[in-house]
Amino acid sequence: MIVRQGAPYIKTERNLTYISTVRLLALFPVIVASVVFYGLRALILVAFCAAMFFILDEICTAVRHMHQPRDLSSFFNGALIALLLPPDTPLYIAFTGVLFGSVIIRQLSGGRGSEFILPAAGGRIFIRILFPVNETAFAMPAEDRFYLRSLIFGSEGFEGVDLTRFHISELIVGKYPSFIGVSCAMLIVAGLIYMIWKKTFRFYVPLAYIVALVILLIIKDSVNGTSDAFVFILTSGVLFQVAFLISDEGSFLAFGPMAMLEAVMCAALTFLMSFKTNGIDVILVPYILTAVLTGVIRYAGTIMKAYTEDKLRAES
Amino acid sequence: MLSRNDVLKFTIEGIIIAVLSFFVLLMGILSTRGMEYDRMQETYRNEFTEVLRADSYQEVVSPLIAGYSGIDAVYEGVDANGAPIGYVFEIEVTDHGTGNPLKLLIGIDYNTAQLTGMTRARNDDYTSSITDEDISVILEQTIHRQIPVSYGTEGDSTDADTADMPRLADLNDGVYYAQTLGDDASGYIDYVEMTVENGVITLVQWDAFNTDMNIKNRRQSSLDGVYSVQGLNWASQSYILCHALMDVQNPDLLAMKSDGTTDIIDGVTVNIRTFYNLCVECIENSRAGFDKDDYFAGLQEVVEGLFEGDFESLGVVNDDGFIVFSFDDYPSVFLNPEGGYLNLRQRVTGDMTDYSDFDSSSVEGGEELAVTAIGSEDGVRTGDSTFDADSIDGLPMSEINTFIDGIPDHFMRTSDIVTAINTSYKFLKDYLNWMA
Amino acid sequence: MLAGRHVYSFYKGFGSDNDLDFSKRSSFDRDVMLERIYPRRIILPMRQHYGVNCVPVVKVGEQVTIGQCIGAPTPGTMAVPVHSGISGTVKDIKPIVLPDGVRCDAVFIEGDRKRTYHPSVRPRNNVNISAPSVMGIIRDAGIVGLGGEGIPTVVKVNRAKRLKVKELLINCLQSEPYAASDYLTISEYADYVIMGAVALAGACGVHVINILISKDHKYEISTLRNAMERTSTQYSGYVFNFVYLKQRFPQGYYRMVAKALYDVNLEEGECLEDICKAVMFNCSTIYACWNAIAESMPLVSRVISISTEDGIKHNVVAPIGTPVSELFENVNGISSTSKRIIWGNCLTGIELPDPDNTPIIKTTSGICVITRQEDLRAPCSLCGRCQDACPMSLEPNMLYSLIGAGREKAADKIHADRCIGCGACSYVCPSYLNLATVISEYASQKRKAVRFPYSSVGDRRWLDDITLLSADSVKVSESMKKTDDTLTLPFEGWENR
Repeated sequence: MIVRQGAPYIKTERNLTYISTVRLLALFPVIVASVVFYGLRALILVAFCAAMFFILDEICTAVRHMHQPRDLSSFFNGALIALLLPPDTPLYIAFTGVLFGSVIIRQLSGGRGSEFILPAAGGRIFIRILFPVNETAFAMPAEDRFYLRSLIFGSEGFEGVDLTRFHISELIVGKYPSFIGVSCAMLIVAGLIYMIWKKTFRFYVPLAYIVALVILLIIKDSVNGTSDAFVFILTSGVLFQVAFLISDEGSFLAFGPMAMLEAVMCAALTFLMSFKTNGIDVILVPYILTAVLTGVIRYAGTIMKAYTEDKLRAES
Repeated sequence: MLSRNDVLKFTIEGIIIAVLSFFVLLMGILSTRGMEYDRMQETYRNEFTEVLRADSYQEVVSPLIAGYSGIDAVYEGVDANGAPIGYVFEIEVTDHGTGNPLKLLIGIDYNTAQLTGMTRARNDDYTSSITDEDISVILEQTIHRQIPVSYGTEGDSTDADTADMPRLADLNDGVYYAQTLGDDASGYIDYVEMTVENGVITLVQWDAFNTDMNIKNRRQSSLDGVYSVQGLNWASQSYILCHALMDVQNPDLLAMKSDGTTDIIDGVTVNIRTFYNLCVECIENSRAGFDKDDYFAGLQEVVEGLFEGDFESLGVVNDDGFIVFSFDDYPSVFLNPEGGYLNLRQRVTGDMTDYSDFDSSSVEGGEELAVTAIGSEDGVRTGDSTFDADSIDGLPMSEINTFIDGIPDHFMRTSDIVTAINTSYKFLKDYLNWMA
Repeated sequence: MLAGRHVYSFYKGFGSDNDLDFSKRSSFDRDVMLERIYPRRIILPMRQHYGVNCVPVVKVGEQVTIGQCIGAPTPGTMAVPVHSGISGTVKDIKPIVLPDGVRCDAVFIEGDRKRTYHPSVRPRNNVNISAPSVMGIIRDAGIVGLGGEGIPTVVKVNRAKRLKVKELLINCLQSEPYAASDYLTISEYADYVIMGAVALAGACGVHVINILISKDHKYEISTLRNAMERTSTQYSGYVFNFVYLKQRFPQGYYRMVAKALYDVNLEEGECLEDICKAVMFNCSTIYACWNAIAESMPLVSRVISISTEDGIKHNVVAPIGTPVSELFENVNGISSTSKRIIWGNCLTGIELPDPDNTPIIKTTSGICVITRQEDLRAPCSLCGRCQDACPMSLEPNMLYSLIGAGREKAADKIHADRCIGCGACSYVCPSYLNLATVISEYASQKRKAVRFPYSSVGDRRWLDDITLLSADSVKVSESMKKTDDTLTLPFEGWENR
């Protein structure tokens, strides 16, 4: 629906298209890392998912006769799904996730901008449920960059490596098998810094998340006598979660003390998840749970706030 | 929507981000290469030290590996100076008893081609019927011995039932030896070593060592491709010839022609006259009871007599223990005062008895045996040859350096483990170009 | 105790990311230097202030001069006179409707291009005048709050005296994007601003004057300091302080000032004078006061910022009543045919449909020309930016959906009536929702805000303040003026406060 404008007559340049463009550019470092480590198959997966998401989005929007500003969130979500996949994922599995995210999550939520969670997160969790075997389709990075067979046939699985034997700088660079875009911590942080610089994300939100998670992990380490806190943070994908999932304004608040509270809540859930599982569950489940719960909490908070203020005024 | 300026700005930013990310990542990868290397070396050391002790290990990247389906990976162990010490193989063989895979780590020494260790690989899932004890038994029999390996009693005369074999008369049991007293045009001094058990010749070896002690013996040189002859390589022809003699027991039955060749033994095209003469001398030594030790002692005595001085200081003994001395410059040493030449035994012992009675009647069974064609094979080529019982894992018996008993009552398990060892040998032969 | 290096601010608001850059000042850049506009005609509405209409005191065909009173207030009413900014002939007197909905008579004057001044307009020989005289002058000069409120300045002075304020605040915090009129006033007339502040401080009975300004405006700060030095011999006993506040919108709003400086949340009906014991005047208002005192020039012109989103930016001194279309004729590069013309600044202004017959009035600080574009609205993404920007700590996204759904009780529960209509929420909304329009309209209905007669609280007090405006009281004060016209400081009557 087109609405004629009342005051104010100028608007911020940071509209939805701007924000989604910034977020897509923030993914570039991670995409570069994925291509450097996993070669052509990573590039094809990312491009395929981004293109398919866009096409499906356009089809759904046309079918539903919705007139919405076009932004780059389709490409962003498509690329995000691909970056959360193991490198040897076949294209048909990736497409399944794109289909679910684009058609089910996005459209049933009311279209672009109305989703309660990122469509990419929904699509990825759908892949996780439908194709559990694919979760082991890892490969060693920087080996066989022109291997394309897995795009059709998948892979036989991977025996895994002992990450505790890796030097911390190797973990920061990302030279260990992981999901395509999740391993290179330093470039994920670069993308996060870019978003903060462009003011699409406030710095205190990821800071609150990281601090909360570090504190919880240190407590756990001191109880267990281990020292896995930083290995966990660098290798579990939580940095990717805070940079690209929590920064989604549709599912999390981006500003203010409530945003920090939501981030801390997500950190706590991530910490609890780490006891029971690893892999994509640690990245996605806390995010989805927090996004759903905070919607409820936010509404309840508003009512509570109004009630408390009235009570205080009545007393004074 | 975005304005044109914004689009331009974002495009430039995107390009800068991508380029910067690439370089930052590259720097990160390069700067952590050392750590990755150290980590990998520590992993290798933990896994491979048991089979091959080296300062560092490097994975061998070669297209040849794909040609050996059992080889998962090959690692080269080097010393602190980077000189190769040996190779570690991750090999998977099929346990024919259960059909399940068995993964082994095998270490081979680079210089001596000896087995340095063997153990079950860490990623083996213990589904085969071959136990660690089986592996230990084979390891015990093969450790520090040259590969390739064969199992069974080939060449092991102790269990051989020699009762029914044709034999020359009056042979004394023992190991007998003869070598040419001069060298040939290439500097080789031929020798034959013969083992007699129960009056039967059970082992014959024909080889030659060079007066230049830096040159390998003829058999090895032929395997290395340095010494070449027409037809089959010399090592194979020597092998065939030796086995032919073991079959017929009588050098005369080798049907040597006047030119020194023979037509009745398939695959043998070289001149066998030297072999014939040395075999005759060995048989005569056997009949005379002049064994190998006596021969060496006598040869040493003759050489010492030519030079005043300690034999040790003459330096005529090579690494294999042979006395490398050509008497071509000393024609009078073996000259028979009554005409002709003496052999060593005659020279040393003075015994002039004629022991050269090789007519057919001295062979029990009387029949002139047809020497069966051993068959021309070229088991020395890259691993696809299959031939008859005189080969194992595609390798001709002529190449086999070690014979083991194997695991008692478990022939298949022995076969499977030995296959793993021989696979490593076949790869190294191709990879190191042992056969040109 | 407010002064110093500390930078004050209220908590929220926003800094514009697409403001025009008025900072470049070059003698070769005519675009940013102040130029005077002499329109061919002016339209003078009889109500350009917070209060009731004035009554025209001229007839059609009458010759008028610059500074002549065109409309006079009815005694005892909340009104101030209206004066002509050009000399010419009264062509018509007829009702008009201003873009903000004000209906009143307007005097249409056709200029004669002669610039003839009224005899009363002359430099005052002796500016040492009493407090009542100051009040009388500013009242008779028709000075109102030029920052946008439009409250007659004399009324604020009276209230300040009655409530015994302790300090005077000069509001130099114009923070709306595309607006720069106050800063140009400071740059060009800094001496008048300082002296005007002294005069008003004396009238209010205070001796502490705090200049509220953003530290980013270094040029204006240095201009004011220089002016203070130059004029320091003309007064004594007054203390000037610079109080720095952050450059964010809407920093200059009185409630935001109260929050930033005094940590006080002013409720509806409460004022700075009452709670914080401070009275605040816009710097342009202060300039106009001294202009009236020193030059006997009533409020007939003001600085207007004319700006477009293409980057064209002009600041001009235009007679009040200049039709908007005539403003554009004098400014190169503006074509208004297809663009949206905003009467006021682009965040709080009103779109005007007829630039030919819409004049600038006393409270118009700027005219913006914005491309007419209809943006596709996207659903609310619940990003929370509007909550972060709202200076009243409301939840605009919730209010928008509740009001849109007709759930007024729920909207009242979360204080929809507190909305001040600053437009910050709409500005920052990435989905381009018209949050401010919907919420502020609802809020104004709830507050039953009317232009006149009185605000919801303090009705009696305004009436008391207005009473003092009566001509009789001014005459009485004039008779108390000393004959030697020397400026005795503090102002006469100071000790009787």
